[in-house]
Amino acid sequence: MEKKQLLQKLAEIVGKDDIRTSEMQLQEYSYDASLIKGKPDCIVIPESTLEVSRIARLAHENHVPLIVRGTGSSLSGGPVPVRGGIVLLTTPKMNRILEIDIPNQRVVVEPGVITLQLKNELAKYGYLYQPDPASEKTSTMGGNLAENSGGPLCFKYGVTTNHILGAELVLADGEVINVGGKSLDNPGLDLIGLVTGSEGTLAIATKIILRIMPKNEGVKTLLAIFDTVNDGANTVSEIVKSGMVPSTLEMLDNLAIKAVETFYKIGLPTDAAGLLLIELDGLNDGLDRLAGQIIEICKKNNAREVSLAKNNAERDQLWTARKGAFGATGRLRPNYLVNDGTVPRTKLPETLRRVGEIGKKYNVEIANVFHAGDGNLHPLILFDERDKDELARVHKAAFEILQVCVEVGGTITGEHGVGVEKLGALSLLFSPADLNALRKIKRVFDPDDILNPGKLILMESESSERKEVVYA
Amino acid sequence: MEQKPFFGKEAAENIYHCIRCGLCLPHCPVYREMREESAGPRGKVQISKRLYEGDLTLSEEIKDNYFSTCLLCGSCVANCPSGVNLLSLLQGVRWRGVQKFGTSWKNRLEFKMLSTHWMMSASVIMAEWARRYFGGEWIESKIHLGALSVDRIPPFSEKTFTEMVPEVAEPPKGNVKAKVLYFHGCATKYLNVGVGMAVVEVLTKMGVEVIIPKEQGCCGLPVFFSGERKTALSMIRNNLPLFARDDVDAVIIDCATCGSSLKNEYIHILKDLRELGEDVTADEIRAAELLSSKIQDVSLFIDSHRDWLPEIKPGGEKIRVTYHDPCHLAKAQGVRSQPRNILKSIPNVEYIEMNGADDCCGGGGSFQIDYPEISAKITKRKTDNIEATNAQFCATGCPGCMLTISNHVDPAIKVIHTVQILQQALKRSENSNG
Ligand SMILES: Cc1cc2nc3c(=O)[nH]c(=O)nc-3n(C[C@H](O)[C@H](O)[C@H](O)COP(=O)(O)OP(=O)(O)OC[C@H]3O[C@@H](n4cnc5c(N)ncnc54)[C@H](O)[C@@H]3O)c2cc1C
Repeated sequence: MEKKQLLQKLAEIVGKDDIRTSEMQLQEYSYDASLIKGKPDCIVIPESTLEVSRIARLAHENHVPLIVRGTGSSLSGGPVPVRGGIVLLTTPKMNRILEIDIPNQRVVVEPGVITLQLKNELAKYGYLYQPDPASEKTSTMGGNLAENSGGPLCFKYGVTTNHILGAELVLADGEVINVGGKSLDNPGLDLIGLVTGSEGTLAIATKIILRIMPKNEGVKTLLAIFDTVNDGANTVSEIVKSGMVPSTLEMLDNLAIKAVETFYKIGLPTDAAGLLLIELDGLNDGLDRLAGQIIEICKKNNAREVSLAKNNAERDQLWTARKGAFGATGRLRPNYLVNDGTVPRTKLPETLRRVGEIGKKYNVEIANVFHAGDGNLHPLILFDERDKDELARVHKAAFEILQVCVEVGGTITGEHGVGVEKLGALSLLFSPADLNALRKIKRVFDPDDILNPGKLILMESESSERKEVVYA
Repeated sequence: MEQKPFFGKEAAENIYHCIRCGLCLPHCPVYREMREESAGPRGKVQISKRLYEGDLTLSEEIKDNYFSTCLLCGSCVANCPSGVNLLSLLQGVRWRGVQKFGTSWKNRLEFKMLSTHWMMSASVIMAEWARRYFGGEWIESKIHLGALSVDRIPPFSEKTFTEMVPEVAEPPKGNVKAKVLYFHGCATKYLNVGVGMAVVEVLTKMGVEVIIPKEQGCCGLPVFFSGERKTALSMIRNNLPLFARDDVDAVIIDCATCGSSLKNEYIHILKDLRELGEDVTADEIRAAELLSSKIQDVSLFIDSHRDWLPEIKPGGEKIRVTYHDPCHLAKAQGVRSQPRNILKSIPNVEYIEMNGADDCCGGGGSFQIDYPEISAKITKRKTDNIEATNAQFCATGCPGCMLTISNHVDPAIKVIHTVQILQQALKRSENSNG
């Protein structure tokens, strides 16, 4: 079908006012928070499942790629239309919280709901949706589902998939199905588990059923400062070994501390090698005792200083700084490439050492901001995209870091997804048979490779190891 | 096609520090309503990048977008972890946009008036014009200027502020503790004369000598951001020699917008224009830097010298007061705690914080006239939050916000300048002396 005709058909579905085609607007949907770039043919703004279904059928019949987009905060190229096609934008009109069922601890949302918007609403009832990606202020629930997002609290509470119970999905051919449900264990195959984390390649979520929890009675937030990263990492291991389950165990290294302090100015020591942000939650009773034990462990592992946030304002400050850490590195150098390899916790000191060596080898600066509790690293390799030589070194270093993660028994992405960015690293982790199994599943859902093509897994088998991608 | 450069080097650097994380989006009042990339800061920075690198040609759509979807509130600038300043990019694109596609007749008229010492903002000009032209209460009540209803816009003062005060106001009891220049802006001059009187009264009671240069003109901000950079330059050149003075302790400003203009924008514009080959001297840039270092919002100045204030005795009727953070004060100048400190220090004030105190009021100068629907939605959130406090007074520090809020909020709630509340308290305290 001609593009003009396609646009006409789309206009019949959503109305002319909800289609964007100008050059300015196409450019505005050609990026996410990674370095991947690709321009769509048009953007449509649906407002109902029915509209999404009709758009999917149209795309399917005409073999046009269909890419769902939330806020575009993905760090792996997820929503970038690398093969052109239709971008389906959920934020303007599919952004309602449909149901809040406090007694049964369930909520139903549309995919364009912002994560924090949901949390703020639930706070009114004293309830919480636990996963807390650092991007929660801006990311959508659809994006969280598709990337199976994690965050500091996921050490204790699990990642997004542990909180999504069901969904209404639009399949590649426009069929609408319901998977999972409101109960904890739903009959049949665990399709909701399969779709969560599928990066928009298997189906489009139009409604999401979530599990919520009452807010904890008490929270204690501790900040521990270290003179070596090893001491910090050992502290993490020892806390976990002790049997305590803090809700967060976050770590920042020296460069990350410097970046954060430049912007937030909250008095962090810029000469420290690392810091740990540890939070405990639960009943008030006993929290003090646990906090005391943690302080002791920190001290035993040579913490230079351990302090307890005195009030909510201090706690908020620490978390705002942690959550703005990626962005704040933008003050040191214009760009960063974030890697999110994950390693067994006990391998943290070794991995960090080797990451440091890789940085030296390729002469690139690396800041580390990570979910230490999960062993989820976020080495941020800093550079300036205008320096092509540096950019090339950055990519080599990034690949080598992932190699190290896999070597020590870890994996290539903890939460940001494969997208386009980590396609080349899939073979580090998966055997050809593993990869083929993924392809078979994709084919069942989307035989013509219409949904977000070029992401997560390439259908043409040999090109799966292709490393070159288009960068902004 | 060859395009003229949009930005000087310093401004352009912003483009490369945007990592597209999207953390600006939830802070942008326009994006929050529209939730499309073109409404928010990130999209504009990315489009600026494509323009700068020559991958995209400046179109009328881009020009219009840069005008129609930004309130200039600076929330993105204040909240960007990477330190990207969209406003400096916005100025460049608007400037070239206006050169290429022209300004609307309405804006042209407004800026001519502003640059010839007329008055503060489009909204006021248009209101007065509508008043004169249509006249009559009945018809006024039917007219809406964009999101503003004309009948709720305060009328002009009979006399201008300049005519009502001496050029130098001395403290009553000799003993001068400080000497300041007072930049009062157009709103105080023509509209809110009472604010100016309150500033002079309070400062002199503190023992401060206040110099009020008669030749001062519009700060220029509405003009800078409208793409009329040449006109802007003439305004800067009028004000610089009057206020860039070494021999005063501070330059006091009662208007958030004027403050952010003199403090932040003068240097930036002069530097940018010099880099782009316009005729701007290094001396002028130095003068702008000196001026910037002297600028203090009146609430900042009063709060840092609270011990100079006469004692305010307890007693009198309790009043319930809330405070709205003007974007150009909180986000552009970091003045947040000072006005609150002042209010809380007044014995008969019961201070209550509203939700979203630093959310934009939706006015944005002429934005509310040109884009009434978006503006009205943003303002509604603000007035709902104000009304929920049950306050009798909403204090703030910006005439633009005062105009927008008082136009929409429950009329029982008075919107006034922070300093006016202090002025009243001082008066009451003196009178109770007998
Ligand atoms: C500063 C910063 C910090 C971050 N921190 C974290 C973190 O701590 N933890 C973490 O996990 N991630 C983090 N991220 C990554 C990112 O924010 C998450 O992946 C987030 O879930 C993406 O949400 P989004 O709405 O922006 O989705 P988008 O980027 O718009 O899309 C992401 C993917 O989801 C798909 N998708 C979107 N909606 C749907 C739908 N309705 N149905 C099916 N597929 C859909 C898209 O096709 C795409 O593949 C961070 C990103 C940034 C920039």
